[in-house]
Amino acid sequence: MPICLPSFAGTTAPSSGGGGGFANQYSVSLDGTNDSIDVSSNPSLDVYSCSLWFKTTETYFSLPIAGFGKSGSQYGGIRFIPVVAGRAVEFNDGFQYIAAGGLSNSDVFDGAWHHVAIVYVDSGYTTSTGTATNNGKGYKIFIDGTRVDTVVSLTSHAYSLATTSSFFSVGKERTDFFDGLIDEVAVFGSSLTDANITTIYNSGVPGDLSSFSPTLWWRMGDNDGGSGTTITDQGSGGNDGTLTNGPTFSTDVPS
Amino acid sequence: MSRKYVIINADEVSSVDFNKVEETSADTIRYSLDGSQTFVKFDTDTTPSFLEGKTQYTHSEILAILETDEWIDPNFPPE
Repeated sequence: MPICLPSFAGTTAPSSGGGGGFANQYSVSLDGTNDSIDVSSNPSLDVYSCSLWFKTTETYFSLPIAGFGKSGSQYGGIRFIPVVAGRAVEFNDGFQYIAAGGLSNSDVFDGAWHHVAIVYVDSGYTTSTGTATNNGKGYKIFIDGTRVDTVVSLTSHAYSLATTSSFFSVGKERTDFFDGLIDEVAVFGSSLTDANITTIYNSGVPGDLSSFSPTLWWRMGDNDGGSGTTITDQGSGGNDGTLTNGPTFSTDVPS
Repeated sequence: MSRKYVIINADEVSSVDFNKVEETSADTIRYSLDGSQTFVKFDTDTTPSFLEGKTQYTHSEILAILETDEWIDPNFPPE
């Protein structure tokens, strides 16, 4: 995979948020009851890396940020488990989880914008503290550009969630829903490097992701005028998102 | 004007006018785990006629209800 350099140059002056001439005016507010943003048709989306920004104060039992996988048993996602110590943020494949054991609720549910990213590792995976999985597969988790995955719930488990996803939703996983704001959701068909994630985090200011060749990039209202019920995909896959059950646009954005 | 939430029985879904609530359609609404109840939300000052006489909840109130075992699977995510 080529190491991509950021391309934050642009011609549009930022009206709010966004670094280096990159305009970011909108995010999407999800109410935690039944709101979600969904790809309406089977996307066949390779989820090797996923990046997004979130803001919440909710310490609900379980807050999914993004769910993907295949129907049935191969179902995974990025999820918060605020009520369980050591699972503030995790990747969960429906059976076991890889979690950020060193984070507390106050690190992520503080009403400030944070960036989260997960990166699939196909072989030689160890947590940031050196714990391996039996098949060498796993997910790196990054919060605000820093790698935080320290816990593997069961090292003998084969973390082999299919990365080719037949669905993709933001704010929903099974019966759980996210309560807060989400912005700049991106999926990449390759495993980004740690340096890539640092660049994308950009010290807390979202930038232009086009040089990373996202296969899905939901600007959450930008490019759609902050209205309507469609999030037009700015990635290469043409996977537009549909606002389901009443999410609203917000001008509160990471900056 | 604040958003209001109303719990209804599953057999009342056919009476919901989805042009007057925030839910997209009957296919996207969320049911309780046993399938007996669901809810809808609306932003208007006027209560839709098919919801008149039913208890209206605020956002924080409905979230508290949805955190109960009637609405979320206590066995997921796995420990």
